[in-house]
Amino acid sequence: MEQGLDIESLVRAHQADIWRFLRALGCSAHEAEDLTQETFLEVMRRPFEQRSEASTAAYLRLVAKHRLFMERRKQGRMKELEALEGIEEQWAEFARDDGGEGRVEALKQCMQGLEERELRALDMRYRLNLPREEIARALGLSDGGVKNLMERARDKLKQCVERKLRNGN
Amino acid sequence: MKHDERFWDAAFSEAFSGETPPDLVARVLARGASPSGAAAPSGRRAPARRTGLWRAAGVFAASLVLSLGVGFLQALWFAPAAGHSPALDALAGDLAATERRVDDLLKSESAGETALWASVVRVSQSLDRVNLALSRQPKAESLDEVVARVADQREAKASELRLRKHVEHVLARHQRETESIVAGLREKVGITQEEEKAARAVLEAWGLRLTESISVYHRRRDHRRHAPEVREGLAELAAEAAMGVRAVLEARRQLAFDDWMAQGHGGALAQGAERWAPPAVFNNWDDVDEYLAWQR
Repeated sequence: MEQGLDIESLVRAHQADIWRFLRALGCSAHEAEDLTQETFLEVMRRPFEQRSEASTAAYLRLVAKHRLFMERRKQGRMKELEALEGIEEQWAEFARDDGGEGRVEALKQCMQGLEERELRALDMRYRLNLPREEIARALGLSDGGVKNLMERARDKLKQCVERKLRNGN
Repeated sequence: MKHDERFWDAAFSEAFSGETPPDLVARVLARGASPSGAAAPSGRRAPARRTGLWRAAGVFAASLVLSLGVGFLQALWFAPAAGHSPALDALAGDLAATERRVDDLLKSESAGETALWASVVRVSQSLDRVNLALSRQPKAESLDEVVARVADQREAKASELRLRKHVEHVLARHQRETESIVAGLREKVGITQEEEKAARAVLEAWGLRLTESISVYHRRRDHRRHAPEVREGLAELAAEAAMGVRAVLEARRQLAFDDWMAQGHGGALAQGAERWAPPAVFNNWDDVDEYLAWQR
């Protein structure tokens, strides 16, 4: 028999992780927000036994993924979800035990170590969602040049983040 | 990690865009507390009583015919006396017999669907005879009244026929879909016997709700206006049934189920409303002949 579900604590503890997980599955911020809400409402409809934080988080990700599947099915966009087997476990490893908060904070700090052009390129890519040819035009680079620039910048950030996480920053 | 790039892209997007995870506590609690929020029926809920789908569909159709028949008798009761009619006596007798048969079927485990349909047909034919008897009695009607009455009668008969045909179609289709889905679950998801039993219960409940939805649709006066809403409802029922089937599976098989569905399997569970109605039902259509032509 399940214990009473403290939905408020559950939402507080896991909403960021589920939102980020859905963003990683390709949702827009708005869609991720709606589906995160639907995930917790689903859990309220079908309470479950909470054995540990890790198993609770895993179950919520499964529910969230399934809500996304149902949404994509309605939209006729199932192709976007091909080859996602094992993604929940890999996300658990990537997000660690803070729902990815530590990684994002470390990333924001590491961004300060990028060169101006690297920062601009990634800003145009991830904040403005510009296509590569537009970024190349804005920076006066070739398409190949901007591709290399962004790959180097991303690698730099990744290494910086992993260092910070290892050192507990 | 296979999905590494995807995760990093999401992290970069969050860091550069300044978006932060929303605080949903208040909204989840508010929606969860409202009657229509978290209280939607779940696929795992077992039906209150285990009735076969055919019996249930027969009950819906019989209740429609019974209500038409009872309404008819009540209208006649308040109408100017038309004299004693053997057709009316026969109708009353058939109605009583059908009511008794519906009660018996609900209590028993026997598959009496064929007999129930026969009762429904008999009552329907009795209604036709009453119709004919009344229409032969001399009445001072204007031409407009005659035209309106005939149109109403035709529409009522057409509506009844559409309902019956549609429910038959849904039941037959659902039967085939259930077997196909269960076969897929056995072969590709590897469900156990117990899980199969539980999944079949979910699929049966789904079929019941499908026929309910279709019956309610046909009974509405202006059903064409409600077509988009019914289509949405049928798609929702499919999604809930899929969730219900998934919920009876052990965790590893839930992942296999997700992948099986993601690869485009799952038949009617993944197909929304299309398997349950001809497109014409949800467009502007009232012609029984056109419906029957589609059926062929």
